[in-house]
Amino acid sequence: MMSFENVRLPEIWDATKDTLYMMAASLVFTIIFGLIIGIILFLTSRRQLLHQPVVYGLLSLIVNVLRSVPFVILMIMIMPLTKLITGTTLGVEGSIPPLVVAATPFFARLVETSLREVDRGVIEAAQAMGASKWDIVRRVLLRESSPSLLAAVTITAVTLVSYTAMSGVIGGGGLGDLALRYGYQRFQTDVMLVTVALLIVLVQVLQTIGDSLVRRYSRK
Amino acid sequence: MTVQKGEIFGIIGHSGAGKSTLLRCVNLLEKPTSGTVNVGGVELTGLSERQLQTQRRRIGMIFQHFNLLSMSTVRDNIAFPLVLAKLSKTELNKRVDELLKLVQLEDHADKYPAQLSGGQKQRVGIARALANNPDVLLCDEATSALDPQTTNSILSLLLDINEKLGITILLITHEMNVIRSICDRVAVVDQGEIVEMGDVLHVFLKPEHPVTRDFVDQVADSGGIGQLLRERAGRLLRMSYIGDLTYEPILYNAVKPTSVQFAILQGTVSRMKQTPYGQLIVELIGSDAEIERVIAVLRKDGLEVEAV
Repeated sequence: MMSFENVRLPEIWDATKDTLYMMAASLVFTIIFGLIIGIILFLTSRRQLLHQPVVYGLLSLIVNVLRSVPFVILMIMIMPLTKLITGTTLGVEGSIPPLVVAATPFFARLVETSLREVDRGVIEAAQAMGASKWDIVRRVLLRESSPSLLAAVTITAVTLVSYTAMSGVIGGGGLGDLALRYGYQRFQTDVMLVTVALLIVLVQVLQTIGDSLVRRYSRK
Repeated sequence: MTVQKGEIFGIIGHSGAGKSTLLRCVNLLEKPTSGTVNVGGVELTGLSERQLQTQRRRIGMIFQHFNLLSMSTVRDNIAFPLVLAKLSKTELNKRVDELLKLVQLEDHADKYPAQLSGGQKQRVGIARALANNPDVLLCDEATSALDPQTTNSILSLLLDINEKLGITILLITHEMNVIRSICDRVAVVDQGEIVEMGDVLHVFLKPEHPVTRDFVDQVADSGGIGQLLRERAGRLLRMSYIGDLTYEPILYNAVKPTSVQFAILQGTVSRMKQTPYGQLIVELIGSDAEIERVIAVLRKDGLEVEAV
């Protein structure tokens, strides 16, 4: 019979709030940067509106490099940058820059793929109507791919939850940190189980919200 | 190639013949490698991107696959070019209402394209193309994805627009039926070259290039006639007539004073846009002198007569 004697609810609640905060804040920045990079990737790729093979190749390489570095290592690698931005490498604030740096290239690729799925004919029709490139990005590409972009945001949010848990390794705070400190270092399995259960619930909730939004906005 | 103001000009060709490229050069969706494009006195090929965007608003375009914004309602799709032209909200709504009425989609204004039939989608496409009161409408295989009945309704809408609004229409198609129904002039394109061009009636009745003959046969339905004709012993003549002649008993009147007999082997009487026309392949039986006399009378009455 398992007892949950080590589980202290206020601490769990604080950790949950930290996780949610880390995830939400880094998601916002990831969406902003990822959209910009994703749009540039799409526009500069072959036979698209801007068609800049060199720019595309360079940006694509950076994205690939960032995506190949495991998150645990990336966190440590960019610590100087993190310190520069937030003044600390610890706690919730210290986790956000590495989370954004890790998730942005991932999200940018998803954005690129979503935009690629927009019917070329529709882009052409907009051009024929005298739309500028900016009009096309804003009024055609983003609008037409919005269900797909929502799905991409959902996937990224879920990925960020698991990243936040990992940031516990460098003292990042949140549920992952709790699981690591109590569950791993002090052998308090009950705390670990509770945190894992909470993470599962969080992922489920995110995915369900995302799916229902996608369904609601799909018009095909 | 020059298209006159206010006419409906058709370009026909097999797929891959280059007709689509030709059409897309008109609004510079495709940049011509050489030569110039001049629409309504403005040379598009020499313009900056900004200027080109403004000029493109004078050129509407509709597509085979409609190319509507799937995430926008019918109303917003039609409003799209008006938004680009930065119309005020009230003007925009007024114009969209007019256009919805023009294409008879008032009841579908708040639907999304996925909820519409092909014909309705093309009507949205037409309304959208006309939103900025263009001088020219480009139609890129506009009816090729539609069934025959819907095709006819879209074609009569286009004809209507041409007559009421005076918009010049330049269309491409691979269906001779489309050309016959609404075009004034036609150009036949084969392997990137214009091989024949002229009034639809003329091209229809006297096709010169083999590709043109192919297309004319599409609608003439003369399959198997060649074999039949070779077996006949009498003088074979092809006679073509247009306009009011179509309804006159010309052939009967011509043979009546002679002893020549005739047999009609093949015949078409149809209508090209508003003009009735007919074409007959007739076998005449009698003495050479009498047959010559009949031919002379037929020609005098205004028929085109040629030996087959």
